[in-house]
Amino acid sequence: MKLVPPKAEAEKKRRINHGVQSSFLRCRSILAFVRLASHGEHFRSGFDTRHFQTRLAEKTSSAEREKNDCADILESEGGAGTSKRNRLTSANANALKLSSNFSGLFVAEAIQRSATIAEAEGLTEIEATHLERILPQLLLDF
Amino acid sequence: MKREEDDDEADLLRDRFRLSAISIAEAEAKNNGMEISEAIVACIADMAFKYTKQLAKDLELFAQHAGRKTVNVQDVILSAHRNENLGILLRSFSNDLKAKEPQSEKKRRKSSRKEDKASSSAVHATDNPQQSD
Repeated sequence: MKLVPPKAEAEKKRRINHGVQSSFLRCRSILAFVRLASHGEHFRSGFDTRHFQTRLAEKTSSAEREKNDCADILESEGGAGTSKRNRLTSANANALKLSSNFSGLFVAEAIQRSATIAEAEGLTEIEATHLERILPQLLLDF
Repeated sequence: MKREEDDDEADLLRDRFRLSAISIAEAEAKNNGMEISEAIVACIADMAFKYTKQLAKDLELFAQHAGRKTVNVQDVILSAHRNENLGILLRSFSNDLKAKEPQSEKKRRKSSRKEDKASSSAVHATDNPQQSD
């Protein structure tokens, strides 16, 4: 995914250095926000995402085995038979809740960072350019 | 074909994930007092979906590495190693979750003990009149 044109690379480097320090501060501000919102929409949507986490985990584990061209895929997904590969891994309930919070944090962090850039520019609408600028630091942090 | 079914399931998951991501995004934006265009929210949602795929793969690898077949809370905390504050956040979440659990377990144990006592006392009461007879 090409995000920033090559002309803006020097600018990007400056923003990344700035972003390292600011990202730490923003994480702390997000702490407060998440605690406030935890009883609200986050957990409601978190309950939905938890259900998908298990399916995602199963999907990726099955996708990995497909890539490795294992002939025992059907048997292992049926749960019967013996195969050298490990079978589908399940997840702890608490681990699922935590990881759904994780992905919620990802979305929230992305929006907060792009919101600060948009505010710095004096706009009231978040645009694609704002998202582009925060993207590299966000991916490095997560 | 199995692959088509997997793709359909993936699309379903992606759509549902997008819904919850959109709700989170709009709540967050209102908190900051900013508006977001729908295209960007969709972008963020797709990105989060890809990120969650990677996260699931990492968690599976961590669990396998530890010789387990179940992903643990420790695995999730370990996958946040890139950012220290992330780790602190997740640890506080996990502590909150653990704090809620033992309360429910203690209540269950207390209720079961009370039931045992009640049943044993009832047994004694029924035994005595039989012996007196």
